[in-house]
Amino acid sequence: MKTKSQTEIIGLVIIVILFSLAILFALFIIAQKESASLKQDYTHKELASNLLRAALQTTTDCRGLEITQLLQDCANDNQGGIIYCEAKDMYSCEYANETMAVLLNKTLIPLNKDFELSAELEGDFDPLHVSRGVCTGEKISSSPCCSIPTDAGILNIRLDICN
Amino acid sequence: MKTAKAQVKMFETIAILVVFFFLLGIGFMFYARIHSASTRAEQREQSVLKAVEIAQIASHLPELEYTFNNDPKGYIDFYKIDGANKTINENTAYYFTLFGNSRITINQTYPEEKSWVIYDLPRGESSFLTPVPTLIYDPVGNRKNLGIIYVRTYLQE
Repeated sequence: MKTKSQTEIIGLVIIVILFSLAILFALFIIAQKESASLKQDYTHKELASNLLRAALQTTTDCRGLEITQLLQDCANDNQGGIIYCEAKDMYSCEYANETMAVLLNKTLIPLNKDFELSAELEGDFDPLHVSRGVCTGEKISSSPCCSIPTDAGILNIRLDICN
Repeated sequence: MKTAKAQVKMFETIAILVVFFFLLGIGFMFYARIHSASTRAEQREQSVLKAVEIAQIASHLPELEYTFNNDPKGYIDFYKIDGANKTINENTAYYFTLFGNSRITINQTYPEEKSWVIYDLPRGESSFLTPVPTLIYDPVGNRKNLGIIYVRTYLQE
């Protein structure tokens, strides 16, 4: 009788120990995943905001203007822009969209990253929309990094890089 | 009868001890594996932090950064790149204290594509890439071109 109860206790102890080991193992795996995603988030976040900031200040071939200036003109007019870019026979809105697509594709395709770029102005006017692929999973956003003052209000620009 | 009972008790004790040491052994093996994995993860994390630090240093290196009236503007001066490249290659020992085992490349992506390797001291196979977008300013043409600094950091094995 005594031996039987001892055997049962030993069995119980083994189960408890195995259970504890399993929990420890699970915790260890979760902790490792968290640390990996933390560094990935940091790199993505920096990449999104730095890239958007740099791209907006880039000088274009349209009268030597920066993308920011083209977007300001585009937002002010609401009809495609006033500034005419002879180099590509386009007005500022179309030219800014096309140039941003070139800039982002040249930078993010080699890094194998999909993205979504959008701009919002008060009054539902969206003068900028460029994307590659569809962000189905997690995405890292550049906001709140880039707002451009225009005559029509503040133009908020946002770049999302897909993870 | 008494001897047989004592023998059974002794076997029982031995069996318990065997199971105990077996579990202890498994526990030690498990602990050793966790410890070595966490040490590797820690080393990798340190290397990642170092990579970010190197990327920050490289993007604000006075040898490369455009300044106006001694005011650093935060972007690379196009005409400083070749000079910086020469200085860094002639003083590798000094720049090793800043960049360690890494490879730093400046790529201009718009309008034309150009590339400069300004520092290259590889070690081992394991590495990872940190991209830092920046502007490359041409003060003569008064143009800001889009560029990207690639910092490839080699992991300390």
